[in-house]
Amino acid sequence: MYGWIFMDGGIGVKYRRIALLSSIVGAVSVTLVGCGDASSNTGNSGSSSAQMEGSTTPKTNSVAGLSLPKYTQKATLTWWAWVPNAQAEVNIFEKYYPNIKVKLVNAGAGATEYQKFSTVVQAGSGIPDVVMLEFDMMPQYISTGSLQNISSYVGNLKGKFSPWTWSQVSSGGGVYGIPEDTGPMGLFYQKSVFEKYHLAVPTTWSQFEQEAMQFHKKDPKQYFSYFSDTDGQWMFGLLWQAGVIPFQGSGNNWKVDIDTPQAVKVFSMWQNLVKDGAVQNISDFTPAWEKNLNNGMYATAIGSAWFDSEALVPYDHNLAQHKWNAALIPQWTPGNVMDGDWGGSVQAVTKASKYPEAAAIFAAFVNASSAELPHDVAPPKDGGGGLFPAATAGFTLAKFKAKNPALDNQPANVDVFEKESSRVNPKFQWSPWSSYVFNELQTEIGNAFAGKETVAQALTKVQEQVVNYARSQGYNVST
Amino acid sequence: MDSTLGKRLSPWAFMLPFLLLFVAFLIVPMVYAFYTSLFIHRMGNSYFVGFQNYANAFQDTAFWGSVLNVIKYAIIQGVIMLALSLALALLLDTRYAKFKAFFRLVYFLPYAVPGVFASIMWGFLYSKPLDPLLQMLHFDPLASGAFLYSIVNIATWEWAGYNMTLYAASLTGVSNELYEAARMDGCNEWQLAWYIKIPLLRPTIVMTIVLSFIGSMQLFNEPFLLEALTPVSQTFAPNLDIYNMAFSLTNLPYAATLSVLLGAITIAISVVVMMVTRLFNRAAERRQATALVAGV
Repeated sequence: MYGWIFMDGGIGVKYRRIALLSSIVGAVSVTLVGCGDASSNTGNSGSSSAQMEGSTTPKTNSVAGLSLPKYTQKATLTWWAWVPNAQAEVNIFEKYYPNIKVKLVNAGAGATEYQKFSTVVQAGSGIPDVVMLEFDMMPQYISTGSLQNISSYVGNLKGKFSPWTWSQVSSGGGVYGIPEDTGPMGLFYQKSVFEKYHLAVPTTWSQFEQEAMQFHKKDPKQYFSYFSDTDGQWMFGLLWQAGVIPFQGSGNNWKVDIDTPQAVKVFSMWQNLVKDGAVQNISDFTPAWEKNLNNGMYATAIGSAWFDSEALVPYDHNLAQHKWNAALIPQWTPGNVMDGDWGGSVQAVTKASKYPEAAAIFAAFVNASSAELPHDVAPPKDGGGGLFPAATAGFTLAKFKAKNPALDNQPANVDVFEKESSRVNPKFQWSPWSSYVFNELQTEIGNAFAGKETVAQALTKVQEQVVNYARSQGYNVST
Repeated sequence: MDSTLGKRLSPWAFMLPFLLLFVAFLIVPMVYAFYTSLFIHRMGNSYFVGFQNYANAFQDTAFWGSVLNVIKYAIIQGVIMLALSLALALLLDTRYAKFKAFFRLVYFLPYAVPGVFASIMWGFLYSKPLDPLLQMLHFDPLASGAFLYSIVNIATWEWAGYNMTLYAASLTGVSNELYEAARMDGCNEWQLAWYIKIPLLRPTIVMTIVLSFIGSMQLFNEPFLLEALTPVSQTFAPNLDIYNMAFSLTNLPYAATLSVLLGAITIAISVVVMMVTRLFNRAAERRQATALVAGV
């Protein structure tokens, strides 16, 4: 709804934390929409508080392949989400749980929604029962006390999800949401360009670097790839893939270690490539980027499992000519194969919810039941959610394994992303200060790439700023 | 008795609508912001920390950098814009200007474009890959070195016509006899502008300087919108920093702290500007008086 200003293809904004101008138009209407949601949510506030205390001895039953608590009381839930065709998920759920009514609200995507969510949490009214959040926002909302521990209802479902995703929704023994989808990273490349220039798909970053330099010499008008300088999430994806563990901890105690030699190595490589002209430094999802993408200016792109459906399909109008394919992400240490994640979301249950059990059941059911998964993995244009599911049962579905017409009919989920999913480093953690960290990293890396400081100096500054900020908020921070 | 009470109350009654709004939407939020700034939020709880947030803010070099940045911006933008506004107003006020009403409208028109749309539009114009002219010139207005000046350009485009209208309005209030007398004395248009119109505009100029300065300190829309096209530091302008603290980081206490500080800085500088101009005015009046005396 807001995406029209700089880009078309509405769902393209899905995973964008800073969803370009959409966030601005959204921000302008923050208060207004906030109020609207407040009034629309009165349905479940105060209607019946006795009902929620029904199940003191949780008995479970199996619903569509999931062992979930029995829930026979009436409940009304409000759900904030921006997944494509989310109403279809609600419709399937309500068939299985006619006693639980779910009201879907599209409160915007990414940052737009977070601003509204923070506003209603501060206001104490109009808070949804279930809210869609990206992984990197989970610790922030857990630490602000906005979310509810649902482990007593759905803690038994841990084994249903890719292991790294469960640790992203857990903190200090509690579980605060159900993983929805993920974005294990991969290398996208134009087969047409690779064939024309007889390039081999790089498997290590040093190979990537060499090929990039050579390619740019052969054709100075083209770039081997681009570096997205306004995308802190994406930059952290690169670090995650390189084995960097910038944050560890829970509650009040955190360890911050951003300026590691490995992180310096990652950004130094990109800095060299940008300096050389082989890689363009550009903000992704901007008109300029879209134009270059359409002209086939980038031989490769560092994307993730949703990149084809959310970036290539909406923005590259010459897909047939470019013949994009996906490949495993290049490695830093060939003996220590590892991947990172870029994007992906959680359906979290809010502390303010009057029906936490119903909300937990809903969040689990839509993301992991055999009734919902075929819908979740189907492409958005076919009425599906277009998700790379966090629930591993999704990997066995025919629709998941299908050839991908956007990727030159490559069955990329099977070829690449299912493998990558199991390689995502489970030790990686986000901090409660993600927004702050992204800003600092973007600013300092920008300064480093502009030649104002070295990459090492930039990362040291980020480290210092983040530690100071966290301490000013009363966290115990070690380095 | 009654009538004196009525007399005493009537000004307050007239002021009441304004006072209510002023208290509800300025004084109360300011007090609440100050109150909020004395806490920190962690793990869903509030902890009273006294002036700890202010102690942190005084060491927050990024915030002070952003304040210096907008002061720099306010000076550059203010001088360019007000000079342009004054020049346009004086040009349109000469005897030789044709189609005055038309040009007044044309210069005023950018002000009618909402700031958000103006920034989006300029964002497109500034996008080097979309603009053959910029490519030819090898110039990227969104590069970090040029960014501040690109925003100066947007703001000048948007507000020069508005300020021109204020000057033009002040000039229309000047009696024509004054100009006729000056012309009889042999003033040309240039001298007319310099010796008569500009001195008469002085109070309006002071007002526009203060308003433009306060407006510049609140710089937000343009960098916030252009963020989509180019990396903009969150500490480019204090308001960006505050907005980000409040809405991205949900750190309301610290956002309130910075807001209180920014408000205090703005008030302090505005007062200084007004005091300095008042001193200048007094000096000028004294000079005029002595000149008059000498002339007699």
